[in-house]
Amino acid sequence: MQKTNLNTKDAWSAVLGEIETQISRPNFLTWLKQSELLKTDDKSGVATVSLPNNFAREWVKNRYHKLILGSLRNLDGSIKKINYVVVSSSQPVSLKKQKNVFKPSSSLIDTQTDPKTNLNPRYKLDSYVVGQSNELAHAAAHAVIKHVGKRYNPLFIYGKVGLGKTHLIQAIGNEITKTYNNNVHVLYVTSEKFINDVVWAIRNRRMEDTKKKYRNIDVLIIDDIQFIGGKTATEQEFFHTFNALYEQNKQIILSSDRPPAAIPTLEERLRSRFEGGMVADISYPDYETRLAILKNKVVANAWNVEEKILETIATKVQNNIRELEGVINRVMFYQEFKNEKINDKRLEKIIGETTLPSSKKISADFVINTVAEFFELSVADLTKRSRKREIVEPRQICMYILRDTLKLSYPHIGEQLGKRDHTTAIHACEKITKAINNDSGLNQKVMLIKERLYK
Amino acid sequence: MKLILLKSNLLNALKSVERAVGNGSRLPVLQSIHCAAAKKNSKIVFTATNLEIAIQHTIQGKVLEEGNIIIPFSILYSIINSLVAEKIQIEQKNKTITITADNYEATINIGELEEFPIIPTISNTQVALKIKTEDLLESISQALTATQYSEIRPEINGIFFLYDNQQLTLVGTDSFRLVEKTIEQNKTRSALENGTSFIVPLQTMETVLKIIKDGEVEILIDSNQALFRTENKQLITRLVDGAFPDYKLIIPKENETEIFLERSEFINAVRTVKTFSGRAHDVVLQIEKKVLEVRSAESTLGENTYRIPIRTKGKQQKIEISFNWHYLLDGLRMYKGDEIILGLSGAEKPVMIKNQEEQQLIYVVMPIRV
Repeated sequence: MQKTNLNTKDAWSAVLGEIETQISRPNFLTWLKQSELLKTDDKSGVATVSLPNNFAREWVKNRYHKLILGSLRNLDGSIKKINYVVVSSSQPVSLKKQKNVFKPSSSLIDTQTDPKTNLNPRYKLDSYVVGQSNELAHAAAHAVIKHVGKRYNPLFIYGKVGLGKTHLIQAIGNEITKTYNNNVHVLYVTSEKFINDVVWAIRNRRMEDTKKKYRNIDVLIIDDIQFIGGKTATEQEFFHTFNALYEQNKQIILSSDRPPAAIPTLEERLRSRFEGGMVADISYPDYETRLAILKNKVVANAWNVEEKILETIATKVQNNIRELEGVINRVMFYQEFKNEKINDKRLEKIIGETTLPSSKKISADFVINTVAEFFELSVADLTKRSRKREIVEPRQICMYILRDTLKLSYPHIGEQLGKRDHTTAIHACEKITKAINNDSGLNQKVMLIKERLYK
Repeated sequence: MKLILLKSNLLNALKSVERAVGNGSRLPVLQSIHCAAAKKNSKIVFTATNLEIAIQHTIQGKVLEEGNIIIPFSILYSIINSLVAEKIQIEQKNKTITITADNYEATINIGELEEFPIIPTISNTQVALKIKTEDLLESISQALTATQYSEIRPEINGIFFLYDNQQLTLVGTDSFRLVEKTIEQNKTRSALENGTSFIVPLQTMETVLKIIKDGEVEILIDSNQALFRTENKQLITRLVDGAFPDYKLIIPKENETEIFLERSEFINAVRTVKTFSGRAHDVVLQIEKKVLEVRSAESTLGENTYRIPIRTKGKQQKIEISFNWHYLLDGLRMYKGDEIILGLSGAEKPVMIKNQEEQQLIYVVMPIRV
C-alpha cells in the first residue's frame, strides 16, 4: 500500500466521506459529525480520534471501528491501532480559565472608575506630557491642586478634540483626592450626565436631590461644558450651582473645545463667569511633545519599538493625540500578534487608516490661496520669480504642503507655482521637512495653515 | 422475552428513566428505552439516554424468558400510566411486544436493538463518595438556589464538588450570588484525595434531585464522567469541562458590620416592599443605628418603606445598599433558623447571609450598583 502524506484534517475528511455513504444519515450526524483525527504516530502506527462525548466514544469504538480502521489504512498503511478519546465540545469560552466570573465586583475593577468621584485612576498627572502647547494649562492645574478653590476659580481649559483635556482635568481630580486623602469630595461629570440629571430631576420633581448632589461637593469637574449652551433649564441650574459653589470657595474645573467667548449659545452671565477665573488653552503639541508622548506610552507598556518608527509617527500624525496613540497601538498589534516587520510602507498604511483626513476635497489652488492669505501675500507674489526671503519661505511651505497633504508630483508642484523646475520643488520639500522638526516657529506656521485648510 | 411485572414497579421505573428520554430529533431511537431481563436474579433493567445523561432503573419481576428489547417510551408510558390492573405481562413476538393486563391487550412495534446507544461505563470502579441521600439532596437543592443556566460561562453551569479536609463542599453560583454548603465530616465517606474537585452539569443535578429518593448514594468519577448510584437506580453523566472560578475569593473573610434580625420578618419586608421596585428588581436596604429600612420607589407608582429593628455588631456605620429582591429572597428562604445574620462591608461589597444554627451554609450576594 502506498503511503501518502496527507495532513490529519484532509485524511479524516476522506475517511468520513467514505463512511458517510455506508451508514444512515442520523447515525452519521449523531456519532461522527464532531469527530476529529488528532494525530497519527507513524512509528507505533497508532491514530488518535477525538469524539464529543462518552456515548459517541463507546458507539464508534464498538460499531464503526472496523470501518474507520479500514478507510484509514487505505490512506496510510502503517496505521494498526486507533485510540478513541473524548474531547468535550464545549465552546472555547472554557479556555479562559482564570477569568474571574464575579462580574459585579470585577466590573468595578475592570472599568476602574471610582464610583464616588467618577474619576478614572488611569489619568495621572505624572503621565501627562508637558510641552509648549499645554504649559499654561499644566501650570494652572498645579496651582489649583495646591490651592483648591483659592487660586484659579473656575479653571477653564479648552482645546481641540484629542489633545488631552479630559486627561488633564481628571488628573487634577485624582491628584486632589490623593493629596487630601479623600477628605475633599471630588465629582467628575460629563456635561451630558449633568444635563441628564437635571432633566431627570425636572421630570420626577426631584430637583432638590439634584441640587443637594451637586452643591455638597468640594471640587466639581465638568467635561465638555460647551454642550450645555442653549439648554436653558440646564444652564440655569448650572448657573445656580456654579454660584453656590463659587461663593463657598469650592473649586470648579471646566473643559470645552473652544474658549467661552466662542460658545455661541451660552448665556452672557455664564460666559462672564467662565472668563472670571483662569482660561487656559491646550493647542496642538509640537514634535518633541508628540515624540515624548509616544515614548511614554512605549515605556508604560514595555513595548519594543524602533526609534525610527516613533519618529515617523510623531512627524506624520500632528493634530490629535488620540490618533497618535491609535497609530502606535496598531503598529504594536501588527508587530506582536501578526509578527510582521513594520516597514515604511506598512507604517504609511497604518497611519493612513487610523488618521482620517478631512473628507473635504482640497485643491492645489485652495492650498496656494490659503498660504498666500496666511502670509498676507497675493497669489501672484508666490508664483512670480522673486527670491526675496519673505516670499521664498512661504513658497517653500506651500510646496511642502502640496507634497505632504495632496501628494502631488514634484513636476506638477513646480508647474503650479510659477512654472518652476521639479528640482526646485524637491529641494523645497526636503528643506522644510528637515527644518520643521527643529524650528518650532516653522512648525507652528505649517500647523496653522493646515488648520485653515481643514476648517 | 416474557415478563410478569407489578404495575407500580414498572411505572416507577418509567418515571425515573423519563428524564433521560431524548427528543429523537437527531436519532429517533433515543425516544425509546432499552429493557433487559435476566432470569438469574429476576432483575429487569430499564435504560434511557439523551446522550448527555443515561438513567438506569432496575426492578424485580418474574422473568419467564430472557431478552433485550427497545420499546418506544411515550406509548408504553401512557398505556401503563392509565391501566388499573396490578399485574402486567410483556411478551415479545419477533418485531412486536404484546402487553396484557386483566381485560386489556396491546401490540407495539419495537425498535432495532442494534441502534440503541451503548451506555458508557466508568473506568474507575472505586466508590469516590458515599453519602446519605437526604443530606446530598438538601445540599444540592441549596447549591442550585444560586445557579442559572448561562450560555457564556459553561464552567458555572454546574455544581462544584470539592473534597478537601475530609469534607465535601458543594458550590453553586451564577456570578451574581453564590452558595457554599459544606457537609459535615461524619456524613460522608470518601476514597478521594484531599483537594479533588469536579463540576456536575446543572441538568444532571436537577435530575438527581427528582429521581433519587432514599437510602444512600454512591458517586463514582473518572476524568470526564460521574455516576450517581443507589440500590436500584443509576445515572451516568458527563462532567463540565473547565475550571470553576476561585470562589473563595468572593466570600468575605470578615464583615465590617454584622446585623441580626428575624428571618421571617425580613422575608415579609422584602416581599411587601418589592411591589414598588422597578425594572431592575431593586430594593434598597438602609442600615442606621438599630433600624433596617427596606424600601423601593418607582416614579410612576410611588414608594414604600418597611422598618425592622435590628441588633448590630462590629463597626457602626450608615450603609445604603441595593439588591435584586429575587436574589435576597432566594437566599433568605434557603435557611431554616429564626434569626438571620447579614454581614456587610460597604455599599459596593458583596453581602453575606448566614445563620448561627446553620454554620455550613453561606450565601453571598452582590449588590446592584446604582
